[in-house]
This record gives sequence, C-alpha cells and structure tokens, in this order.
Amino acid sequence: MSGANAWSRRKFLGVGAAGVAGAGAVAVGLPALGALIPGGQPGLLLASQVPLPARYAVPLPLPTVLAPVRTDGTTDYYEITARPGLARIVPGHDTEVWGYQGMYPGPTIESRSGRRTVVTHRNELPHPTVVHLHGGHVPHDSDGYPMDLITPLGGGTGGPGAGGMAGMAGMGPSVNVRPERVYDYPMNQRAATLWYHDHTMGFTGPQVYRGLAGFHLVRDDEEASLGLPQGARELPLMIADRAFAADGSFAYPALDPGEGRPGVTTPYMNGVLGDVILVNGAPWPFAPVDRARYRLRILNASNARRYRLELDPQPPGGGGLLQVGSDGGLLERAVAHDGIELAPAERFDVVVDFSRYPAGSSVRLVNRLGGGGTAEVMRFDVGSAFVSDDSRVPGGRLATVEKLDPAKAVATRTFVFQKSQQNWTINGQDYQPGRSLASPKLGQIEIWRFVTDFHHPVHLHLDPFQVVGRNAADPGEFDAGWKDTVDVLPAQGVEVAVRFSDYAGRFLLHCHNLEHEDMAMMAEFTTE
Amino acid sequence: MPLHPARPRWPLVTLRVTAALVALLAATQPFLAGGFLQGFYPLLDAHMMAAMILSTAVLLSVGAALLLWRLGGGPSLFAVRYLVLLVCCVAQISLGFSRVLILHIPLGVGIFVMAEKFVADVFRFKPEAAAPEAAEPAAAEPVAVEVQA
Repeated sequence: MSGANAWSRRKFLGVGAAGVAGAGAVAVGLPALGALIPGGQPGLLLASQVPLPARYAVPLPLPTVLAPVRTDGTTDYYEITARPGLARIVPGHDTEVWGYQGMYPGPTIESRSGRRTVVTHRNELPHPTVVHLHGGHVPHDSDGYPMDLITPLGGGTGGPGAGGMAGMAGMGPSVNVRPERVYDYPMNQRAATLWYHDHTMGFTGPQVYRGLAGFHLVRDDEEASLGLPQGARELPLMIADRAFAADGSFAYPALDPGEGRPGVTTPYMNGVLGDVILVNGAPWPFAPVDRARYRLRILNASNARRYRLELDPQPPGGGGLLQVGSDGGLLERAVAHDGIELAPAERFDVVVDFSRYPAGSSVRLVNRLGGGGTAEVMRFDVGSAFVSDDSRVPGGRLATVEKLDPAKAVATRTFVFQKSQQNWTINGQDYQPGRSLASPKLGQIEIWRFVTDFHHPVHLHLDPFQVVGRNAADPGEFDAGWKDTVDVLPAQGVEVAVRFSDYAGRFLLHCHNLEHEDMAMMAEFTTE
Repeated sequence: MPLHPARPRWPLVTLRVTAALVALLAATQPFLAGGFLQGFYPLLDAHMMAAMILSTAVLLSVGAALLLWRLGGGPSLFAVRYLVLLVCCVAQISLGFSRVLILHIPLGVGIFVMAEKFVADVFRFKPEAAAPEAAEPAAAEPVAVEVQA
C-alpha cells in the first residue's frame, strides 16, 4: 500500500510539475509568440505602372521660402496661386502636380510668432480648393472650413458644389464660394513646424496627393535663443508616398476622377499607399551633409502611410534622432530616439549629429514599417571636410511647456472612430457640415477621448492638445509635448487634455488618413 | 435485427461534416476579429465572409440533423440545437453589421461554445447505442403482437 501511495505521489508530483511547466510555457510563450506578430498597417499599396526611379539618384530639393508681397508694422502679406505644374519624378515622364505656385511642395512661409501673416490664395486648378493651416491657431473664417471654397479662376468642375456627394448626406446650404480667399493668421502661437494643405470637402485626399501641401514655419525668440542648427543645417523634410500611372501621372483610385463624388474604390477605403517615397517631392533623394548637427523638421505628408523612421546605420551608442519638438513646437526636454513613428500629418523636429559618423559615411533614413522600396526614404552623405559647428542642443530645459492638468478638466467627451458599411464615421455618424458634436467653452480644460477600430490619426483644429494616456496607461514614447495629431492605434483609447482659446466658432476634428477623412470621418465642434 | 429495418447512415455522416465545418469556422472567427483589431484591415472582410459561410454551414447542419432524426433514427435534439445556433448566427451577423459590439462579442463567445459542444456530441453519438432507445416504441409493437399470438 505504502509503495503504491509513494508511486502515486510521485506520479502526482510528476504530472503536477508537467502541468505547471506547461502552464508556464503557455503563459510566457503565447505572449512571446504574439510579440513576434507585427501589427497591421493602414492602407493598400497601389503599384506604379512605370519603372520606378533609381534610389539616391537625385539631390534633396528644399522648398523655396516665399517672400511677402508687402509688409507693414504688424503684418506680412503673401499671395499664393494654386495651379498645375510639371515635375520630373519618374524616368521619361513629366508628372503634372497641383501645386501652390505650381510647385510640389509649395513654397515655405516663415512667420514670426506674434506677427500677423495674411495669405491671399487663388486657384487656377480645374476644381475648387480650400486651404487649411495645419497646427495654426486661427479664427474660423481663416481655418479652411471645408465648405469655404476658392473657385477656380476661369471656371472649373466638380467639388462640393457639384451635387451628388454620395455618403455625405445633407450637404446643406452652406457652400461658400469666393474667387480668392484671404486667410488671416494672427500667429499668436509658439514656434512650430506647421504645414498648409488642401482641405476641400470630400476631396482632400486626391488634392493633397496631387501636391497641394507646403510648410509654414513659425519662429520665436525662445527657440532662437537655444542655438539649434539653422540656415543650411535646418532641413524641412516632407515625406510622402505616391504611385504613378503608365503616363507618369499620379495614380489615385478615386471613385470619380472628375470629382463629382468623393471617396476611393472599396479596396482602398483604408488608405492609398504608393510605392515611391518622395521627400520634398523627390524620389528617395540624397543630401550631402557636413559632419555637424542638423535640424530635421520631419513631416509625414502621406495620405495614409505610417512610418517608423530610423537612421541606418545607427550612430555609435544609438539615440541618433534627438527629438526637440513635436507638432506644437519645442518639447520641454530633448528626447533621444532610435526610431520615431509618424502617422499622417504628424511632425517630429529632430536634431541629428552627423559628426558621430566617420567622414564619408552614407547614412540612410529607413522606414521599418515599409517593405521593398518603401522601406527606404532618403540618404545622407556625410562629408569629410573639417567644418565648424556652433550649434547645440541644451541638455536641460529647451522650452517652457505649460502642463494642462487633467484634474482641472470640466468635461470629458468621447469620440468613437469606426468604419460603417460604406464610410468611416465618428460616433456612428458621417460628417455633415453644420452639425456640431460638442460645444467646448473657450479657456477651459477638457478631456477628449478617442476610441478606434483601426489606425486613426486624429487631428484637432484650433488648438493643440497634450496626450494624457493610452488605454488608461501612460502616454506613448512619441506623444511628448503639444500635439495636434495623435496616432491612435487599432482598438485603442487615447485621452488628451485640450483647452480651446480665443476664437469662438465652428472647427473640426477628423481622421487625418485622408481617405478616411474624405469618406466622412470628420466632425465639427463649436467653441463658445 | 431483422425486426429493425436498416437505418441509412448518410444523414449522420452529413451532420458530422457540416458540424465539423461549423466548429472550425467558429474557432476561426475570433482570430479574424482579433486580427483586424490589431490593424489587419482585410481580416474584417474575411470575418464577414466566414460569418456567411458559418451561417450556411449551420443551416446545412439543421437540415442534416432533421434527416438524422427522421431517417437515421437519431434524436431530435441535434436539429433543435442547430436551429438555436442558426438563430444566434443570424442575430450575430446583424449585430456585427450594426457594430453593436457590446452584444456581438459575448454572443460570439456563446456561438463558439455551442459550436464546439455540439460537434463533440455529434461525434460522440452512436446510432447503434441509440437505436434501441429510439426504436423502443416501434419494438414494443411486434412484442405485443407476439404476446397476442
């Protein structure tokens, strides 16, 4: 009996041990296995019908800085006309771009914080346009409300006035057309990398894709006092992916190329991805750089593509991308990253010290979320000359960043970003101009909560916000500082603290995946 | 056995095939749903297609279970169970299309549990073992006749 008991005890212990080991393997192994499965990415690749351009064959172009047509004691005045132009991007073809001043990217506007900037926009394109200053703290009339159209000089077709508008019911009577539009930007905001781009009701995707985007940089004394790299060592980088048709034109799977009806064909509803990566309009360019610090103002101007940008090779010791600013300007302290993740419309202001590389190095900026050609972005060719570099990045405080205290929030609002059968919705509703989902009070802090099904880069107009948490945990590593676009991941809840100020009126929140935006994932709020 | 006319076996085989398909698809659905919640967009469509095929398989299972009951000498229980599952699947598809996830997800768990439990019972079912029970009323008659004789 005792022998049998001992045996069964041994058996019991053995089985028990095996069970514990098995359970441990499952408990540890399954999450480990799961971690090997990468997340999905938004969008569907549209393959070009022409041979792709060679990589690292053209130098990085820099957008020209636009000179004001006049200035006075308080204000700089600019004039911009959107018109077709030609660009040589793919071999053997000229590509028609729709550009501000006929250029893609459009010319860069540089403003001083506190100094009013007035931009008169005209339109010589075939379709109506709207201009939005992304990240601008501007009144409603100058915000680029999607129904405030600039009609084409010499007529035009399509656009929000064209009727139809399947899926965007109840357009209402609010289409407001003008032959030219004066955008009045008070510029009472801190230094930041802003950009201006098309925001036409239902057709932002195709019109930005054709080239309607440019930088608008705001500078201030706080930033100037830091000694960050400047002049030729400050490079704005507008990164975007495009596909090309057989004739070299931009290929885009619009439901209606005539712009009578917004949206893209069903397979591309989750975003259009191109197979050519453009930086400042050039395919996979190279940039000769000194062995010195450079400030890279990186903008993801893609319609839908997300990037994880890394330097390859990494500099010794890593941390090659020293982030000094985000959408809304300088961070409180610089943050060193090995890689940065950018959803559409996000900006990262980073300093790269190329003196950490040996003379003559080639350093690629790569995209770890891409494959094939889209895994590469551009290349920096590090010179061998001895150069002086008096720039610096302060190790301590860069700037004073006021912290919005979530405990002082007077309201919490939830916005659910979700697919419907035909469209993309916010709180179950297709965008309808004039229908407001919230009425926040000016000057008061609120918590806005964004909940998603898929990837949705959520953008707020009027004021930037601060990320409070993701899925009830701390903000992510790319959420620092003032943001105006937050990369909400699939099935995620992100909370931000926001305080709208100065301007009462109707403003927008929307998904900045432009195919989602055009397919109704937009909503209005009314500040009062 | 001459007193029991041979029951056809094909209704049971059919039910086993359709019930297995139901169980397999019901086990696949959470992976497809989890996949699109992780950002794999095409899996949303796959989830919908699988739901359609699943419902069709449940409908076929109802038919096969009815045949098993009427022709194969099986119990009516399977037909009732798969009918309940069919109703759940129809509701589930409607809840999914209208994105009422607060009900869609728990019902999905329920459908999964039912599909796996039902298939196990279908495979466990032995017509030989069930035959005497199922045939008891029929068997009583000849016995009674014998007694009278």
